[in-house]
Amino acid sequence: MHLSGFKIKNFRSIVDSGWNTLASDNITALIGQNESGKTSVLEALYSFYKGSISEDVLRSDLTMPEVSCSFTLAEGESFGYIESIEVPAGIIAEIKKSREITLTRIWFSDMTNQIILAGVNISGIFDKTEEAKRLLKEECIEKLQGFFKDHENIHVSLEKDKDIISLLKKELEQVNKKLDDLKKLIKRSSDISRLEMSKRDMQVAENEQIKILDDIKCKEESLYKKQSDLEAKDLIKSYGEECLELLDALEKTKPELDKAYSEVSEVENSLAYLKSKKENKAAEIKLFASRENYIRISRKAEILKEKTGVILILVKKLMEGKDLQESETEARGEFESQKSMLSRGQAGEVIFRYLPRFEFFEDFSSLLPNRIDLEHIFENNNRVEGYKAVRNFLVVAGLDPEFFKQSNNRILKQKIENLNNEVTVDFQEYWQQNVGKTNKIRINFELEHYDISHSEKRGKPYLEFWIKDQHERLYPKQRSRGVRWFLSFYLELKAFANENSNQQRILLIDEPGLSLHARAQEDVLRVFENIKNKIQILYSTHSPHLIDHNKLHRLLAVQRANHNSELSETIIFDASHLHSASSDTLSPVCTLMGTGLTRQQIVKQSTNIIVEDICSYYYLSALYKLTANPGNVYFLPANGPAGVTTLVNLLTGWGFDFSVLLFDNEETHLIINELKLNSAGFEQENTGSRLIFRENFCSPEDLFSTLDFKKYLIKKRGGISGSNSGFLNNHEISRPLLAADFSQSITAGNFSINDFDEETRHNLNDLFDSLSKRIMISDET
Amino acid sequence: MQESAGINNIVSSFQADPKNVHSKEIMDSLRYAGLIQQALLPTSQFLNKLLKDYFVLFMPQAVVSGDFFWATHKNKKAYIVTADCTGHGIPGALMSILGISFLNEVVKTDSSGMANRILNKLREKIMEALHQTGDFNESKDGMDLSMCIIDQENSGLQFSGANNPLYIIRSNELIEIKGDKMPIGINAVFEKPFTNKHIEIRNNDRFYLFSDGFPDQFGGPKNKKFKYRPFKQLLLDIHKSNMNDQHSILKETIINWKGDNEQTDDIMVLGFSFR
Repeated sequence: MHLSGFKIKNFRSIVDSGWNTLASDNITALIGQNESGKTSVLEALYSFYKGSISEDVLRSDLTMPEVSCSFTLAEGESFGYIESIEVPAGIIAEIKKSREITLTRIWFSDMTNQIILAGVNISGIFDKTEEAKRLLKEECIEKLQGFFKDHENIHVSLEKDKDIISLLKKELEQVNKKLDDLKKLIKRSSDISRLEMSKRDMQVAENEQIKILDDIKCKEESLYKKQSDLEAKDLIKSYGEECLELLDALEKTKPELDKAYSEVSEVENSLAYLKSKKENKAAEIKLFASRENYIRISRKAEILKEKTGVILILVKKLMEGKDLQESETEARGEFESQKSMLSRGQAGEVIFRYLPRFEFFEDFSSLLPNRIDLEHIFENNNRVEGYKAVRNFLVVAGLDPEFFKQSNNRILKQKIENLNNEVTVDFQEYWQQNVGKTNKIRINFELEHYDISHSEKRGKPYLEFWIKDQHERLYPKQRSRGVRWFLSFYLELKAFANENSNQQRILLIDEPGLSLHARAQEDVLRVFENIKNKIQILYSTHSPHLIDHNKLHRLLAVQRANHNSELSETIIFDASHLHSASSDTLSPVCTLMGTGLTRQQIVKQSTNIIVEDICSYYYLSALYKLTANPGNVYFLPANGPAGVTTLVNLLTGWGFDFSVLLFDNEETHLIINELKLNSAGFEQENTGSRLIFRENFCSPEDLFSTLDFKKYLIKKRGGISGSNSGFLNNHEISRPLLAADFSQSITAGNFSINDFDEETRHNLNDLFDSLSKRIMISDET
Repeated sequence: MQESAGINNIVSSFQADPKNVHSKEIMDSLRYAGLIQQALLPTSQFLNKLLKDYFVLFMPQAVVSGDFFWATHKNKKAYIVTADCTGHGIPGALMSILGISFLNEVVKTDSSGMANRILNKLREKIMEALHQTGDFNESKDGMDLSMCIIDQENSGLQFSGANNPLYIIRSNELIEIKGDKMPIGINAVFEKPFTNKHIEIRNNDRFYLFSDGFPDQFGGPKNKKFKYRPFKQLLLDIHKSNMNDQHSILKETIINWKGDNEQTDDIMVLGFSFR
């Protein structure tokens, strides 16, 4: 896993650094003037790892810092631990797809902090999940309110039905009575006409009776249905009421919790100002009580949260028409699943455990001592002078302290002799400075025993260190500070790289090698190169000798937005935007490159187009003059494709904007790969790329149609079946002479763009349009 | 659609003495060469797929021909070529083999999809192969040619011609799209780029590509050339018939016109439409 980028907000002079990309080859250098904010960048990154910050880093407006780091997973690096974490659907797939993990550490006003899993797409998924939870609550409350209204309406309607039934029953009684009366009348009646009339009345009454009975039956059925419905709804109602009560209780707990937390903080803060024991004792009791109270409310809130979570889902299920048992089972299951799902903070904590270890080296104060007692080594006594340096030495030499318990003194001495040679040879790989003309210093250690002059330690073993050259054998302390610093630095880094080699590490170094000679500073770079596959390195420097002029993609330029004000915010430019950095910021690079070429007139501040050779220069600068493209571009010829990278590095270092125009041939393919790997701005083949590539055109001569090539360049009529460039190669025609001749003809005004045929004009327009677009993009940035 | 099987018709016209062994050997060789040349032309199955509604009237003057037609398909576009090589018989046939193989190569490697650029490239190949550099006493061989690139999806047709035109009959009117006055081969003066004509295909348009064999055929009551104006009128008269009928009428007309005369040159007419 490699730290691929960072973004820092509100950290000392940095307001918002924006995303900054680190070099993919594991070494990144921060350059900039004093007080520009280089150390702040390193400190912010270290704070991201450590989690703690001091109040010193806060800005005057007290906005809290936020540091984001992006890590790229190496090819073939396992996703095992990421796959095992339970996060909302889509997040693992997103990480796998991008092979990138972004974590953000946020600090709060009480100086506590949280690390969260971030990244644009990933945050979107978390947001959606949280939004879904919030919507569930809101929808549930809304539905419940509708439900309660509905329930009330049914209840009212049911009562009405009951009244109607009661009235109908009374009507029925009256009809029944009427029927009885009519029956009696009919029995007694002898008058035929009256009898007939009574029978008709009876028929009417009987019909009325049937109707009322039907109505009653109908209403009773309806009543039964409503009652059943209401019984079912009563269950939902009771859970719904409980749900609302729980939500209300949970809402009320929040201010309680805040209040309890404030009380704890208040008492904690007051402790610092108490003087008497009595006051302290009382405050401690109060602190204990307030903490207990806070814990109690927290627990209560947790229980309420859990109950609310389950009942919200349960109510939703019941309202969907599921039965109680089914709803309860499903609600419990869903809640447990939600509960086990990690939040962005929890996911951040888990992933953080797998990040590379960050180490911050401000200095290498533990210098190699002249001697150290072995017993201090055995006892791990790190208070003894030089303990750390000796320990590092033993790690580099691959020695365990047990080694010195070897009883055979002759074998021990021989082994030490061999080790001295090994360590010296390795050290000399990096320390290139000669003492005198040819000799290099050697590092030696020897196992000795105290003699009679040290009565207290007599016979006890100690290790003695020497740094010697051909003429002198001196103790480390007798050597210069520079040598001792470098040795200490070498030992620390080599030991760091050798130890815990299974864990990936990131080393943050603030201004290494300040006291070193220029040559020795270059040696520091060599050590970085040597360990970069094991350790990623970020360092700040002012020194041109700590910058590799062939690897300018490793630079991040740090400066104040307003060069004249130390109060202005820090801004950072990556290597592809070094041209936007101030000349003071770039002074180490300019020094490295030889001179500040910003003052010359050959190369311009912008719109420089690097081309691969002098022929391309002749053709393109001549043809560009013929076209009606707006703006000036400046073609800079490299001395062949291999020279393109050198020009790229020079222009990057000088802080000029540029693009590279390459044609499609084997040599340029190699250069393109190299540029993509080692230079900034060539990563992607889109409009933002500095590379303008002419696919299917091997050389500038191929921009001409065969007819124009014959007519204006070689001035022959014979058929050419292959490419123009192929023809030149096969016929051994001097390209530079041809190109220079053509350029002169253009300068002499011998022909215009309209003299070329449609194919040539099309090819030229296509090319110069690409150049114009690139210039416009460059102007915008 | 229909094609003329030229070989069988023409073999009988070869005046070889069957008793002369050498003549028979030459005849056999020619017949075999004719078969090879025939095999290089697009098959009717391929043309059926590519054009659907078309005819090819192909009447070589001898066993082998200096006229040829060629077709291919690339990037959803149909490429159609008719060509008339300098000379006829064996010299013409040799040139046609060169033309077919160069066309295959140029179209395969071309990325422009533009007819004129293909003709430019083809000319370069022919000039290179025949070592034509513009010297006074070198060969001036080459070919006249018409190329159409048909983009049916976008109803577009590109035409580029080397001394040969394209006839379009649209709304009972014949439109002549002239080719550039240059051959595929060294030109009398400096070679210029061929030009491209873009034509929008409309419903019921008829397109005709041809060599000069038909209009240059001698015959008729006064033993004169058939000529272009009657040829155009003939096409106008028959263009509404289906392609098979057009083929039959053209063939019958030219055979009748020729009468007892010898065939003057190779004859080729290719007609197509998009109904």
